[in-house]
Amino acid sequence: MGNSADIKFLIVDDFSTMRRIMRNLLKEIGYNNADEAEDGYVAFNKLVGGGFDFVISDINMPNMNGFELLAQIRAEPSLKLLPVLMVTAEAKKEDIVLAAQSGASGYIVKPFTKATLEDKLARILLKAKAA
Amino acid sequence: MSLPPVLGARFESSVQQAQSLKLKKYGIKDMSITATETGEVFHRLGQITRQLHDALQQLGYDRKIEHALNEMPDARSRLDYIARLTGEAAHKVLNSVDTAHHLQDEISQSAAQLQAKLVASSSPEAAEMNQFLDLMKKNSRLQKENLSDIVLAQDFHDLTGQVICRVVDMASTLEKQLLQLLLETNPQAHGEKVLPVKLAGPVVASNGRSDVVTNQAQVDDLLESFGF
Repeated sequence: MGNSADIKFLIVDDFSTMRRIMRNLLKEIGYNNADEAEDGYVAFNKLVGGGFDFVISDINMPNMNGFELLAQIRAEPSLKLLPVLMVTAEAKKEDIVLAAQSGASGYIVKPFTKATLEDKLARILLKAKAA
Repeated sequence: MSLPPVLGARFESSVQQAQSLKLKKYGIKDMSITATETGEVFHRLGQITRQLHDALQQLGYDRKIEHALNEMPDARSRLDYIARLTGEAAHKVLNSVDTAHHLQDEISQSAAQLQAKLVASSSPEAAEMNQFLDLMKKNSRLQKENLSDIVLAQDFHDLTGQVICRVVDMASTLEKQLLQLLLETNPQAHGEKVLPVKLAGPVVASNGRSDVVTNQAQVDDLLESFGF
């Protein structure tokens, strides 16, 4: 992972509004390089193609949900260390525990603030750099 | 609602038979249920179910179920309409915010450029202008923070959309169950068309409909055909 401004994000969410909100927020925080996917299946195909440094994913999505995407990422040797931040409306503790056990790098519950996103990104990137 | 006399009598008879079965069961020393008794219980359950079906028909509930069933696609359509409209509204807001963001960037950049030119000047007017440009830059930054809040607030579309999706799923399941219940209580009923109640309000699904207009141009065309 190079300079933080060069980090390439993949935003995965079935709602186009949310993808756009996330892209705007990343831009405001200082990350201009982001691509989008509408479900886990599309996301995984893009990730396998290479070039991504960070995944921000929803959980409830058609075709392949966020947990399934996370499992696929962790099972793929070329992607297993990729930071994955789950951003979801699922506020159930069991979902948060499952995400942690499945190897998520962080978990944000919607609705969230820019400060929360900025803080989580900074922490995850710091950890990834140290690893 | 009280049962009609004929159903009341049937119900009373069923209760008496069930009580008689119960007494018979507890009257014997061996508490296990014999094959004959099991068959008898199932036979009685079948009778009670049939009586329930008859009661639903006689009380007119099958028509009510059919009414409810006919309302379901309309309810789903209306929920889809809400999801679509809120999504379009959210995108319109995001487009406007993007434009406003660029305009604020231009204002603050121009202010900074002008301030750089004023550095050489020591006139009182220049100092006043400098103060004004500082205020512009500060307000531009605050406006961008407001725009950021507006962007984040559009997540209502995602959150309400997820709730709507779940309600639509529930409605689909309920629709299937009602259809099953209707077919079981009155297999002939499904062939008869029950007219749905027409609800006032916007047209939520114009596809395949020739009785509605979808935009102002169509309204104007229609009015024009009447000489307006």
